[in-house]
Amino acid sequence: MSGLDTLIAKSLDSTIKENLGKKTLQKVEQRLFERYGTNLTQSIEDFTKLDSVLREFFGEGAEGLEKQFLENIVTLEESKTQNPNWIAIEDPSLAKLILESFGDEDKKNILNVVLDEPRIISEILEIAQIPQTSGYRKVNALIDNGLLIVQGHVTTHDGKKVNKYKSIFENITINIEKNKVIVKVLLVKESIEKSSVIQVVQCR
Amino acid sequence: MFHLGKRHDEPEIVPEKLHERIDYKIFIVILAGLLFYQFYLYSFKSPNDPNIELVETTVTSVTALIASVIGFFVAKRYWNSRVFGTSYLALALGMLMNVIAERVYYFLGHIGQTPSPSVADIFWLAFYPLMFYHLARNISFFKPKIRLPVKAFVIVLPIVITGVYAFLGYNQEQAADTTFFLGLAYSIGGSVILSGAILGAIIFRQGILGVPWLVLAMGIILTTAGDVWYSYVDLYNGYMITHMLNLLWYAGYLVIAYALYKHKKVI
Repeated sequence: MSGLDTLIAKSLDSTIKENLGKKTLQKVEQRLFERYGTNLTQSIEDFTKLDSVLREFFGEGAEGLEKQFLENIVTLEESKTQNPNWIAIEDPSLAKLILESFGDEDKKNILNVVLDEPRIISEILEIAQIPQTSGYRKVNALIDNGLLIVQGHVTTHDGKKVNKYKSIFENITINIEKNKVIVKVLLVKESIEKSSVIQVVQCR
Repeated sequence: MFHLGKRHDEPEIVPEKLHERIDYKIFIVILAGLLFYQFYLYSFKSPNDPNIELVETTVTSVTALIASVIGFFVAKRYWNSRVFGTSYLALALGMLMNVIAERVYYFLGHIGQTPSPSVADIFWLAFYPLMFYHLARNISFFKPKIRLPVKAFVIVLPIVITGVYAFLGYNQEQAADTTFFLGLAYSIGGSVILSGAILGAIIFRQGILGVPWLVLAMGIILTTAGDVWYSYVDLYNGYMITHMLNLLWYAGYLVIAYALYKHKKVI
């Protein structure tokens, strides 16, 4: 799953629940399971499945619904002067997750190490000077939250393939305007290209 | 162990596509019931019989109340949700406005005051913004790309309905009085929500939610037809308590109630 899709999946069910109610969410999840054997979070990986189920319920209304989901979570910057890969994080829980990751010294160091080039975990921990036990735990948390994505692999001397990881951000800005914290992130190109959500929604 | 009806050894087959149908028997039952009711009204010897008014206001209130109660049940189902919860609450309140208006109209007539134009009209007119909110909330949330001919149709329809009423009404009255403007307000309100309901039915038509929206549009067509017909007949002072046009309102409310039931069933 693309890192961006993992980030979006974290907020998708709450967006459906808040706007259309718990029962609607249950109906959509039930149909997803009986037709594709997946849950809502998994269906983000292959967004066409979720799209087809939403269309079964809402017809053409599914298109607007999907755009709403995306807009409630992130806003793609469409300004010509700016890099199109900048996104503004609209969802407060997602913004909190990112801020918390940068608030943790070890996680911030991990993300900084893989900002420019992908690295294997042992290399990341060595450069960031983090103990192995807590380091692996923190790297795994960043992977689970979609902030680290797999990009390539290396083959060890015994023939094993080990994944290399990269941050999904190239840059991040945090602005505080009155009481609102505005988090904008510059995503790596692959993250947007691999995102099935962005591809399905933007193809329209 | 006995298994009645369904055989448990047969695998359940997941349908390739979800389907939902309109049960046309419901429409036949509504039509038959209303025709029976109209013949019952004709059985009264005099149209001025005070019992007729009581029967009529009870039937109107009950039909609108059925739709309102089902609307509240649907709103409760999606309680606290920003789109379904609030929009179905607005629809239920809108139907409740019709109930209150009927009771006020009956009360004013009963104490010998002119029932229309009166405060009852405020409640009837309150139905339109509430219904409009319901439609607009759903359509704006699910906003897909709307094709130009559909956009044009949605804009032109209320203009045509209101224009026809205004033209015929003004020709009849030769003056723009309270009755004319009240009729105009009903025509505008009815035609705008009709447009919205048709747009909703078009947006959702390929999904199972299209069925309740189509039924809702049918219900609004009936109530709007009743409103416009009433506004026109009222200009001629030709409205009577036993008038056939009442059936359009009753049918409209019951069809809206069926649409709400369908919505609850499909999602």
